[in-house]
Amino acid sequence: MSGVPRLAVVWCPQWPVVAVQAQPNESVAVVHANRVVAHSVAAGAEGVRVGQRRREAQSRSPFVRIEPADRLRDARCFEPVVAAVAQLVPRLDLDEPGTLAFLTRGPSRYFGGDASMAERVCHVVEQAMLEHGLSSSAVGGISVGVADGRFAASVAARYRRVVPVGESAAFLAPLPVSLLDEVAGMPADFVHLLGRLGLHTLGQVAGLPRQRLESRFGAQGVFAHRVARGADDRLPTVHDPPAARSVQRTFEPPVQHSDTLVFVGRQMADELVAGLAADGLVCTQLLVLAETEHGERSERIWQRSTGLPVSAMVERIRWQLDGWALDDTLTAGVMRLCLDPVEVRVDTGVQAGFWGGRSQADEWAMRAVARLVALTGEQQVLVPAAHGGRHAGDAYRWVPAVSVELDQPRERLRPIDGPWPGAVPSPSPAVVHRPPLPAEVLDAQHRPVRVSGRGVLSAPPATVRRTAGVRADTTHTITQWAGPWPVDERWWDTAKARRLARFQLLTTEGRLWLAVVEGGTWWLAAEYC
Amino acid sequence: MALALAPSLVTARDLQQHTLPVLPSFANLVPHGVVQRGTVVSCHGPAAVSLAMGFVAGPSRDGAWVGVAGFPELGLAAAAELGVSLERMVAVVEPASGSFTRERWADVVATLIDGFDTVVLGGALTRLSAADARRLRARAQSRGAVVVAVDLPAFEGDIRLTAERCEWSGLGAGHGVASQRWVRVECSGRRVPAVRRGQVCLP
Repeated sequence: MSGVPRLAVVWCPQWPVVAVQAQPNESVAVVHANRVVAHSVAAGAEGVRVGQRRREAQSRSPFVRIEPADRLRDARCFEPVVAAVAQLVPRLDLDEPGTLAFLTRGPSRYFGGDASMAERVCHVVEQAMLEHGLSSSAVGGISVGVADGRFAASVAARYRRVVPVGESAAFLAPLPVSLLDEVAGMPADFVHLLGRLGLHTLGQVAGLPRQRLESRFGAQGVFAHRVARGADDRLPTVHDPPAARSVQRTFEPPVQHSDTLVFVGRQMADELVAGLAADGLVCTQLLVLAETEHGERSERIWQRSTGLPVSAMVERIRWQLDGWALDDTLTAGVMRLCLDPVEVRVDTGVQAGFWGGRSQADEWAMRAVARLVALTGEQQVLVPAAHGGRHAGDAYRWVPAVSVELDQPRERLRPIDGPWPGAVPSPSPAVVHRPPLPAEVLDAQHRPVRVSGRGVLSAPPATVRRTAGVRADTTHTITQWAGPWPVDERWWDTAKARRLARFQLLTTEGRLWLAVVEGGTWWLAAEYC
Repeated sequence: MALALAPSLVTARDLQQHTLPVLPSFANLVPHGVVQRGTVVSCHGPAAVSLAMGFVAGPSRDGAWVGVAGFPELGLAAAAELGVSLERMVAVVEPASGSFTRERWADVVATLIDGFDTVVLGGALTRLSAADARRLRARAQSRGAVVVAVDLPAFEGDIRLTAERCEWSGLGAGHGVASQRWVRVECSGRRVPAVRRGQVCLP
């Protein structure tokens, strides 16, 4: 296994919690789209888990501090850590905020072995965090791991281990396959399937013939086999990119705002990805280089084994530039921005889901939603969500678009378990008035129609008239009608109890109304418009 | 010679990119059985909302996103029953504490047109002037969005769908429940060479 590079990985668990400046022993959860994405050790001890709903987390841990997720903030807070490690080693690979990797060959020799180097790096990182008011004790501390291969090193970081040269496979063998999901970022359903097939440890996966995994799972199976064997997750198809692939822009006059740079960065990323895609390639390591007029440089390598699409590139450019701009030592505007694909691999393609997967239209719509939220406010941009109930308009409700994951609609639209006895059967009314419109329903003798406590009608309704609103005062003749359908809701709760009767009223114009009489007053609740 | 050749340059793929499908029940009603991108459709009459939802159901099922502006009273259950995919629907409503200005609404609708394939405009947009409507129509044409206006006089439709008569079945004098509706629809407008009429079951 001589071709596998030896790497050290510095890893901080639950980095978003550190970024919101959690105190030691404080119960903190970071929430995105109503789901917990990270939590502190104290919160975990009380039963808070990643993926829980916010309410559930709060019920497990009543005093938990809930913070909204902000990837930019996470990246900005990680910048001091990156800068500190960059003092010790020449070349860093960054993945997500909270994780960084570097080749150990030089640094280990300089600091006298892997173990002392790991200790040294750990110490330097803790120092840097302390200087910037961050503490990792709420999440169990920073850890460093050293092993052959990126996956093995990342796992070693989770176990705080220095794995001796050539023993990565032995180290990984007894560990659970769930690490493929947590560390290597493989799809959760694939990893789950391995478990159901009886493959519970990485050693079992590594022990299978590669061809078998390939014929059953395709590229995914080969990848899983490679990383489980302790080989680098850098695929054999990875190679140095063809010459002159890098994209760069020079600014005259120099640019002062990072927003402008990110905007240009998006165009550059578009250009780069389109150029690589034309050759059937995808970028797995990207070098982002920015240089000011006075020669100050920011140079970072961003690594993602599944490939960097345009959106991921733009996000990383933003992280890097914002972190850099935070450093007050900058004396001039940025003059040059350069994107250089350090490592590319053949695009094996991602099989889109049989139902769904994101299309171009989805991509555009997501952007439009973000713009609309900026234009009108979070509470004004809404999407449907299943609700449940027996009244008109109860089956679905509008909820703010920012509170849900737009590309995972299945859960929010799953029908709420009924049954709802007494609901008016479909078809449903196309217009639901909230609040309902006051109205007057008269019988043939022009007396108000009443419904007794036992649901008996005083006389058949003959005319309906709205008593407020734009089209008030026009009397409509009722040709056909049905009802009363009584509802006696929540009779056990005096504050919320409702007793009402519903009718369908069809007028001569062909308009069908869903009318409600409650406490002797008539309302038009909905129209089958 | 060049003129004679020109029509054959339009390939089937071009046509697919420039049109959106409609449900089979509307296919006989609109010219060519599809709706061209950039079209403004206006719905009127006692079944205007159901007509609008039935019309956008075709593109929505085909993967298009539906943006809804100024229509807080829209019945979502009815939209789902008419075939609209609720997972690709986004609405913009006015805050409870106050309403948007005319300019704000124009911006919102323009953003919807930029990002969504179909845009439904509801009653709150009566505030838009005829000039706004013209600008938004031009934008829809350049971005290839289909705009469906429900009972808005300012948006004179390229395709104008008017519900002339609704026939409900299942309802009696004091008994039954409304179960089915047949709507007699007149289709007219600038992009409709001759007025068409047809029956649509909504639902």
